[in-house]
Amino acid sequence: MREAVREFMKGECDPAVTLELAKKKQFPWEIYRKAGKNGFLASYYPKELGGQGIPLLDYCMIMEEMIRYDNRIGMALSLGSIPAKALLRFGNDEQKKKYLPRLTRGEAVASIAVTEPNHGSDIRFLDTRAVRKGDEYILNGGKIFITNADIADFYTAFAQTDPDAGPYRGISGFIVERGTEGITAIDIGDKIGLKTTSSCTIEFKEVKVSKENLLGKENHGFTYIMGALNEGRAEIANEAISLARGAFDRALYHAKNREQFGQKIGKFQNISHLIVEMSEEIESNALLAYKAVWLIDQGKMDLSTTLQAKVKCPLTAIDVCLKAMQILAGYGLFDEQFLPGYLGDALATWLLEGTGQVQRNTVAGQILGKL
Amino acid sequence: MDFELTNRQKQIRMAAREFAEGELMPIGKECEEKGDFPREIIKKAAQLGFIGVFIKKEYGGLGLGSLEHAIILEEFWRADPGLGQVMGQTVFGTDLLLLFGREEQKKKYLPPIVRGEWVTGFAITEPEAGSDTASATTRAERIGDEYVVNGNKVMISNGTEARFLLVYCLTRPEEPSKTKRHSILLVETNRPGYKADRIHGKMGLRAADTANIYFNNVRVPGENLVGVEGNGFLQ
Repeated sequence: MREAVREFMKGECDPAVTLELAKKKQFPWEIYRKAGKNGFLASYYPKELGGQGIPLLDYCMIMEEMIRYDNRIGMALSLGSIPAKALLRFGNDEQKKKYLPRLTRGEAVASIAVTEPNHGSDIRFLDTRAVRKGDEYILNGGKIFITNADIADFYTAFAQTDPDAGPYRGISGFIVERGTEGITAIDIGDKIGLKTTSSCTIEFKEVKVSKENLLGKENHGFTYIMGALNEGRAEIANEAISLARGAFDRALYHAKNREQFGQKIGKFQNISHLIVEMSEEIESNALLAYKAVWLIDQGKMDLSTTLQAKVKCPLTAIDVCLKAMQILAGYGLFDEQFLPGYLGDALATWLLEGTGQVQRNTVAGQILGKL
Repeated sequence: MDFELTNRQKQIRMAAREFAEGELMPIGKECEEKGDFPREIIKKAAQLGFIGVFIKKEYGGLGLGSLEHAIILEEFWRADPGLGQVMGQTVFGTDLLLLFGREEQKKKYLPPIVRGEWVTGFAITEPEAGSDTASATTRAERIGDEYVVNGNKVMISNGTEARFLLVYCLTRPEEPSKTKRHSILLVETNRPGYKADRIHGKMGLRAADTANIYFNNVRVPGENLVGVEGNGFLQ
């Protein structure tokens, strides 16, 4: 399976072409569609939703091959479906059948709209309001830092339905189609990483959403956010390891080929030890990432394992990228050599779907219990 | 991929923990301070099957795997590192016997280890040969049917406690390749010419025996060769 993915990437991802995509901040639609045809997108979805029905761990291996080969493509392909987890896990059958197969087919990407200018880590309440009117909800408000909001087919969007409820208890989730009147999604600007996906503001102005598109039960939205994000975090931990492997591969290649002072620089102990340290970090933290998704596949999702992975793996990716840049020296500064892209993406994995700092708070609660 | 322990492995962990908390923890501090340990705890552990679980059944062991062995040692070390090391080093060298020994050697030397009657060790390190194993000079000269061993080794686990040691010796100094000059000999420590001095004042793991050992014309029969002559480094 890994072989097939590698062959696909070799055939489809010309570095010069993918570099242009990153420079122009374009989502790689063509490769996305082809990946869909090959069953590489959201492959862990059940077959009735267009997936391959393979374990989440196996799908993470597919993403690992993609991201380590070319982060510009791999990260974008992975982020096409992660935001739809709230729908996958908590939507009803009609909703899932209506929206999700587009993701596996590579026809569409999804966004998850939670974060707002005043509510990032703190989502006890949201400012975006959803008011029930007859058979519809009317949404008003604004979101920020929403990945791919300007190109997504649909959002799993969260809004306050009961402003008088206690913290966390007044939020509901909706499936909102981007084409609905009143939605404006704008790319905020140039980022240090994730260059082939956008990060956007969304403005909801009197946006009408059918009650059929309510996710699960009214005011239960927070549990859906947690469920979706916690599973997403396990995937992101794996993405981070994949980025680390991509940087490692390139550093290793350079160490084995670059010659100075009459020998390959990999023979110098400074370089060889950097390579070994990178491997130590990757292999030990990869186990955390794999275990986190393995537990999900066993139906025994462990929050502590997942969130520790979500902290350690991005840190590993950042450290490995920095070491790789040291080995590539001057070459490491250039976008053509990929490393700045891997580093930028690694920086993103630290905060995607929750900052490491907040993760640690949650793990503390898990380990210490209520004191 | 499987991150879960089997039920049997979980039971082994519980049993090892019970032994460790009951027998090792209460005496750990005293053993550390004295730099010694009561010999009975090896026998007690052996009776419960904790010693050499990876040794095959035909040699008296339980035929379990490295993971089971690791689980037991983890529990012992958790209770007390020094006594955990005592337990762990009872079998240091048996893997060599298992891999390269002849049937007679395995049948003779492994069962008493598993029973907790004997302990063994693997004597490699020398004053001038630590990380650089290929430079070891303890000499085993083939004379007739015997090897005559001369030299000394340092920091050898169980140097004073072992009934026999697996000893890494220089057998072919004239061999051009550095990695083909050595062999492994099984040396019973009650042979004339063997001396061991226990090292005191270690910073940690003080209960466990670490010694400097000396071979002064120690004669061992040719059949005490373990594996192939000249393959000592690779073995």
